[in-house]
Amino acid sequence: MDKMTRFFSALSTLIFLITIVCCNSDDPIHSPPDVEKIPRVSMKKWVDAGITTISNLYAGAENKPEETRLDTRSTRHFSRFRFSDAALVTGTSPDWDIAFSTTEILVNGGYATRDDTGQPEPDEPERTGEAAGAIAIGDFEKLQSVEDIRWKQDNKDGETYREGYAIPHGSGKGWYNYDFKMHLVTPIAGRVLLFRTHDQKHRFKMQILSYYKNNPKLEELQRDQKIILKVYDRGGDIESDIPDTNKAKYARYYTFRYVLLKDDQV
Amino acid sequence: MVRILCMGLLLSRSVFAQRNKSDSIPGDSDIVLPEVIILSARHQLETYSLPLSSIPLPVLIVGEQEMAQTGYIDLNNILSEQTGIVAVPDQSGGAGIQIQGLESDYTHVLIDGVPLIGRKLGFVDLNRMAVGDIDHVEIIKGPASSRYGSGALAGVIDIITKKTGKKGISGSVSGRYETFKTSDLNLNVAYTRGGLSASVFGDYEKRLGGNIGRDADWTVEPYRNYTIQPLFSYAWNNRIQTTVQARVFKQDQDIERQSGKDKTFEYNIYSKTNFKTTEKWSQMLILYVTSYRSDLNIKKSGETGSLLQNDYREKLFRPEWRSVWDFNEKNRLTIGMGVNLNSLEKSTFANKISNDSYYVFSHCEYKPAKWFNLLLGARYDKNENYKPRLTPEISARVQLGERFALKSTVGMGFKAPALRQLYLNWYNPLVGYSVFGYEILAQELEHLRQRHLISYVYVSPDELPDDLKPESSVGINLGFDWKAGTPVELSANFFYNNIHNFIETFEVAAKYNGQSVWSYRNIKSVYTTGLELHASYSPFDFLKCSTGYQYLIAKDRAVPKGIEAGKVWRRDAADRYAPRDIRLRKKDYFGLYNRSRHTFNLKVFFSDKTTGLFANIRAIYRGKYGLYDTNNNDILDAFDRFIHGYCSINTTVGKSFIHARFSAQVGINNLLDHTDKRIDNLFGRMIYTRLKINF
Repeated sequence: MDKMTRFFSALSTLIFLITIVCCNSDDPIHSPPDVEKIPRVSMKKWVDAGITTISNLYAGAENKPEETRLDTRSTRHFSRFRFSDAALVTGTSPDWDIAFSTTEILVNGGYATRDDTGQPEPDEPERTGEAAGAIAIGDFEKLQSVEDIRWKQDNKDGETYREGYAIPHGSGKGWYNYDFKMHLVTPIAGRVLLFRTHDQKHRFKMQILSYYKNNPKLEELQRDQKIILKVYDRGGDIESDIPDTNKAKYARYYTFRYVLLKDDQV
Repeated sequence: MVRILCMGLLLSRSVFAQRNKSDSIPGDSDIVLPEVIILSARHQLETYSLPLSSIPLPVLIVGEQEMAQTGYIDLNNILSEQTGIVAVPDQSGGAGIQIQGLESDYTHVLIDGVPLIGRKLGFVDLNRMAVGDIDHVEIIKGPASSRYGSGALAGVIDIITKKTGKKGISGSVSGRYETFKTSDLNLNVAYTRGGLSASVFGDYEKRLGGNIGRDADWTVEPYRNYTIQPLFSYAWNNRIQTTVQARVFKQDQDIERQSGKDKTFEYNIYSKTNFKTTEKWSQMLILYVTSYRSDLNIKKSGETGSLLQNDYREKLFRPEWRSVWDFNEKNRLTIGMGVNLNSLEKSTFANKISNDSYYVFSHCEYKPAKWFNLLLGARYDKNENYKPRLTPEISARVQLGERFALKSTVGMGFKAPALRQLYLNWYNPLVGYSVFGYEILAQELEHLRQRHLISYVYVSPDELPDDLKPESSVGINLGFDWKAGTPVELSANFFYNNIHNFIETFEVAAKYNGQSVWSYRNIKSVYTTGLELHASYSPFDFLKCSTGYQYLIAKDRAVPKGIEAGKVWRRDAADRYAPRDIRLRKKDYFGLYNRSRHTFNLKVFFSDKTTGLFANIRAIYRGKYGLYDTNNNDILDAFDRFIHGYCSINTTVGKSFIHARFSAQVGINNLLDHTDKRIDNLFGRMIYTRLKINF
């Protein structure tokens, strides 16, 4: 099995390289994401009483939002993040802890997801570290101990491949609820995300605050989303018919805060 | 006469008090209870021989007089003024009602005992029925699948159309004009001679719509409704009688904000032949054909191409035979059987779906003693799409003294998965998600996988049970009727409905476009329980007051368990960069969406026979309720934003002239002009005037 996984990760690297090398502009699906172009607003960070807050970390694909709504396969773009210096990781640097792509959160540890043919997904960043994640239920500020937590790595159970991220994906399963009526993604209250860094040196707890640009108030988000849904209803164009001040217009902008766990030991 | 008088008292529960038929002025259908109601009260509830006074079920009758005097043209409005019935806009945008805390897709809607079809997202739009030709409406609350099969979980609404009564030619013309440029014109002509009676009713209703005023976006959509209803009845001899009735309905609705159109065309043809085999044994053959089609077309603003085309075609053919034995005045046995040949075509379905079924049923009315009667019933349904079901029911009524009676019924209800829940094949081109019916889920998901559109499967179709089970309920009703003194009547009813296998949407898989694939699944188990109180007071012939109240609790059983296990939290984001998550307590759980704990009505009807003057005022209160989970923890809790309780006051004043040949009325609905943008069916103050001529 171990050979298999090695084989697959090698294959995935190969495929990844081949796609990078071979692709041309006629094949937008497999073109590598142009990281520099992506952020519409720059990520902000600040530290207050030991808690680091990150705002507007963009986790979108290179496609414009309009295109991603089409029922075609698009390449995911992952924004890789490192806890220790609260920085986005660019290039091929392997020292990232977690990566965001739309509502998915990957950890730098475990295996790549496989598609139906058994091939690793080519767009996932290669997990070379030993990062892990878990979800605890509780109050972010009070939660201190992680003794009972069973750390998980992506698609990995012991040494074998097992589908499923450390932070489960899907509405109500991991960190967010997707509301079918309003089509909004909101963090689930009482869910504290726990992460072990890729170098296994630290453990952090994290609270996701928002999936929308500038961390709007939920009430304002819902109000503005109603306006968007009306435009959808009418068949209007979101880019041109919705003002940029609409708080629900720009999704995939994470705001979260995190802090080192008190009993942080490795 | 004694009997009629007694009926009058009973009916006064919900119909304007009618004391004595001899007081009535011939042809005056607006002021006094017309003869047909008295007849139907004796015989009606279609399936029972029991007089209404002995029916052990929670029954409510809304008579023609109340409909005429309140001046409504929409059935939905009339029903929403009744105790225990709450008007709620349904998901499809139509007018729906809630009975015993269950939404309108759990209510069976019948017209003269046969079902109205054409449910959009499971709902029948009650405003399809023109009120002008309704004689009265019977509402039975509580599960009634033992009589009506699938769909009767919350109750049954049976709309009884007018039958002709008077000899010779008679009829009426009526016109009405209302706020939002709504006008209604209807004509009714009837002819009766010997064993023959024939009538035709036509109605044209038009609304130009308009802006509600407070907001450019907030408009009432225009529509045009056309109804034609001919009826023909002939007694071949004193043993055989045939009635043939038809109804054609057409609606054109403009959806201005989407530059779209929604067209509906519907017809029903219904024939009933009664055949008295012997004095005590009779047969009834019912043939019913109905067809419903609607075409929804939404265009992208400023473009010619269609953005969304949604067509719907449904047909039903139902032959039914009933055999009735009246052993004596007290005991009756009914046996019946029928076949439903039902088919449905929708643009969101891959194929035309057939939904054929057959059924047999039997009910027995048994009265062993003067003070005690029993009603037993059972029905067996076999449908090609789900497993056969047997639904029994038992009801009893105990008369304790002259004035007090206890009623109780235990029944079962079930609702087969809607065809959309089995066969829907829907991709939303605007948002990008897909919804598949349970039956086609595996195959459609595989198609998407092959096209490399699926990034992750949460629940593999292999792990799901073989089929989607019908939602099923057990309901208990326990109540009393108390005629506390001649002018005072009281009644109460406690209800408890336990519903299993509630069908809900769930997320099957994630797509690469960031959206999901959804399907349906038996998930929830819910209960609704409450108490309904009704009182009426008629101190004088010309005055009747009534009041009603309903207390309701409707909850999902899993939620309190989840709260207890500490899984459900809420977020206090007063400081949105440092929100606090707080664990919910069990008492914070409010219940299901769109349910008010308290609903209340108070109605005063005044009607003076000598002057022909009538007036009424009705206050309908709907207590606070939640429409939507505003703090996004998936449940409705005390920290969500609620719709505050509100009261609609409706009033009418009118007068009839020249032996009630003419009558005129003006009315104001929602006198206080209460509006809330979140409430779809609250339009603000509406004023109307109506003129009617009887001939």
